[in-house]
Amino acid sequence: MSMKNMLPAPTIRMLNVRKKSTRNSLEQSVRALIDRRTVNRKLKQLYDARGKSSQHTIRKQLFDMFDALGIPYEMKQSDLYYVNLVKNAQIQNPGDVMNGIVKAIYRSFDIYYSPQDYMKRLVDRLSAPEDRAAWEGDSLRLRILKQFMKYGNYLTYERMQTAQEMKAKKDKAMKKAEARLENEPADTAGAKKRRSRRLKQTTVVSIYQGRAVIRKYIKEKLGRMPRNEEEALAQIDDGIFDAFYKVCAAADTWKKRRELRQPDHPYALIRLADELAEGRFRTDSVFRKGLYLFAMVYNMTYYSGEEESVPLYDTDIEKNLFEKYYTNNLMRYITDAQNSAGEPGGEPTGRGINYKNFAEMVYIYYISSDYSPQEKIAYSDQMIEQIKAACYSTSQAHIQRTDATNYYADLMTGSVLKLPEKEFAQFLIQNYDCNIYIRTVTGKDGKPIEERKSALQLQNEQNTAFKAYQSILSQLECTDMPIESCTYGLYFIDVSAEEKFDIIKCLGEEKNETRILEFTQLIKGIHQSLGNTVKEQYSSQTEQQEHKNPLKMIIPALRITRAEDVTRTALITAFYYMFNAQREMDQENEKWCGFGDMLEAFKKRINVYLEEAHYQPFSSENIFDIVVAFSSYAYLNN
Amino acid sequence: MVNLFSRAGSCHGYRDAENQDAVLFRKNDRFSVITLADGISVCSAARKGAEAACAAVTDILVRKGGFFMKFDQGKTVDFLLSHILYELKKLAEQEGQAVEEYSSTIASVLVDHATGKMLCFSLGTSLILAAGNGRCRVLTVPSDSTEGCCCTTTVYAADMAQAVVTDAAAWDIVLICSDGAWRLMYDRGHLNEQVREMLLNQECARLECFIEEKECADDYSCISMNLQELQRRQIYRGKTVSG
Repeated sequence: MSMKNMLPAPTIRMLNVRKKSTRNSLEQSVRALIDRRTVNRKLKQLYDARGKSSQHTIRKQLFDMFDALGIPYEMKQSDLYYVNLVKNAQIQNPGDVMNGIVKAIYRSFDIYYSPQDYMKRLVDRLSAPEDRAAWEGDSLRLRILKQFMKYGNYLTYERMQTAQEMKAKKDKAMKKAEARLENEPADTAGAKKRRSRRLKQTTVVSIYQGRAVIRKYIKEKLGRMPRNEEEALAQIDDGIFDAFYKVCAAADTWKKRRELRQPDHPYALIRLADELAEGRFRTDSVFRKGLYLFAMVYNMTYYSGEEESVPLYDTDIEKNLFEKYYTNNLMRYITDAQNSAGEPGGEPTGRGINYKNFAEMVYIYYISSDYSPQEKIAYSDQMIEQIKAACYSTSQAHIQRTDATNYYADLMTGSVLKLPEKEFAQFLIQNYDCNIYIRTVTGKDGKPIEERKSALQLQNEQNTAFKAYQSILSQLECTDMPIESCTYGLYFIDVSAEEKFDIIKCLGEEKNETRILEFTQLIKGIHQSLGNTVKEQYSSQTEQQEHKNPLKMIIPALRITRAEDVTRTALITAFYYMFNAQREMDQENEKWCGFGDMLEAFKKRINVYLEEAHYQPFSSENIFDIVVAFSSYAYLNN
Repeated sequence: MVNLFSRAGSCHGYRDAENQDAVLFRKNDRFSVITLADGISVCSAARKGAEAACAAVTDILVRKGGFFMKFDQGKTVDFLLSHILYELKKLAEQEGQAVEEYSSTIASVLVDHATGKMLCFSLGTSLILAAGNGRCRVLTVPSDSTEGCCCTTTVYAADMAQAVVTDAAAWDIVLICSDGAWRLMYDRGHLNEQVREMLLNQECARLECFIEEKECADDYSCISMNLQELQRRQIYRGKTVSG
């Protein structure tokens, strides 16, 4: 048993203390690091604002600084009182504050939830109390799998067979069955069974395969098939994941590994539960579908912004699966990339719901509805199939009114989500690109093959985000900073040369070496995400010569040319260089009162682009965001 | 004209039956104010803090309402939060406790009889909702409390507070609900149809019964002001807006 498991269960008070410590804690900690120069600037502002309406706001900001610094003060006093108070108080110097900010970022990283912890908290919050109690001892992946089994019927559903399917089956199987029935007495049990099977006109659709291997696993364990679903839930255990890992280990070719990711792989459902539990956010459409199905089995909600509705932050799909989850996965991606453990090309894009994609809108429609999870799963899949069939065309061009995500985000209002199902499907057909046909190619046997996309791959470009990104780049080009010189990465700390690595120096008395190493990896990862390409080495050139001959290489984040390749981090990177260059040019730039004020200005400006691009706004819970903003502060105060 | 109810939730009931919510109504010739504060349950003086915050905001809004109607959102928020903190600090000093022990959320509605304008101010998880002319509208959205609730003693609370000025004449009724109450009025984020009907018919007593019938662990409070009645009595000169 680990030490962690031996700790006493937290009381309500303890939990609240922890909540307080994590809630916006990073932003609050760094804003609390205020140096004497900053407080003096604020006092000067207060003096200048005498008799003006802004006086009260500045006074409030000064009080916030006192609160953050822990300086006791009286309100409603003269300006002189506050000047004397500052004069006699012990306030840090700017250099100490810089180190303090690195320490604050480290401490925030130290208590940061891992993706696994994040998923556990989410599952705990969303689970029904009876399931939470019954599956308490189970691993997280097993709990998620059980949820899919219990509420999603293994992500399968029964549907009526189409006339075409019926005809094809009749032609084959029915002839045999009929023949057998004729030779058998009508009242035997076997005959009755076969007759009822013959009459059955439904077919089982598996959105993710997995039911068969689960039942087979239980059969091997019990020596018989489970009698009912309760028994299946009671008997399934972590061994099913071991079996899955064996299959993974045996997949020695690229083709087999690719097959493993497909929803029709026998272990697809087990893989989905495992990846969700690990917090491994893949960017492909198969996993994205899995996220929506996860939201359905856990009865998550969607906030449409309707005037009389309220967001339920603890169950909201956008907030929990696309925003906070992204933040967690970004951290994971950056550190994994440093350890070369990440999957290539798997950088979380930061995109939320794709409002241009009709299939995602179908999922949102049913997530907003009051149907049971099983009904939501079945009806959403059926509607997607119907729309695909209705719109499939090898000749017709796409119906897409505009490329702008904004247009589609505005379309999906509460009133549209309240439309009856048929009308909603019709609305999608009329307004969205629902044609999955790509092109016709000639197969090996010379026959034509129609290539198709999956429904979730349609309209995957991020045109609005790309426009926002391009707008930042064009502003960067208008500055004195050549785009080839935007390679300095993080500025507050020297992370490009191992021997000069001074994070440890900043952290001072911190002892946990493993965590410090992980933190170092994260900072280095962010440094490289920001496009650092400079390798420090002794140069034969003078500083002046080096300045004249900048590297003729543009970092990847600044040379994106396709709308589908834009990511939130690329947009932030471009903004970072633009912001620094613009501020540097502007000699009369705003005199920020410390990092807190600068952070406000940074947030305000970057959020214009992030919101326009439909990415989540600057988040003080996101270490990447805070580190980049802090680096800007260090750059401009250099 | 004003209807209010406030009860301890079952969780508090089992413990010490103390309701940590506070509601207040005050008016003068020019302004009417309703306020609700929800004490943070882990704080030892939450009830006192909620009452003090309620009194502080209501008092200043009634006395200086005209100023707030002219202020922009940032200034209103800064002014009100400073004032609350000032009053809480005084109280904390008197009682020898840390000011954080008096933490609460706060939400207030100020109606200006002269102009027919309405100021809604909110910090934390309470909801301000208006109903009239066949529709309901959330005027201030409750803030996210999954990682802890923003309250009157939070440093930089102003970042999380909301202040909006709207036309009071567009609505028949405006109400403030604590999170304990609005969670019972909503189903998966959508306003319950029965509640919607009650609000549109201004049936506050029925709403109270509806909420009381449900089991609630948290304290639940609701204070509403009938704007139609205010207007009928010609207390304010707002114009009726149709549609």
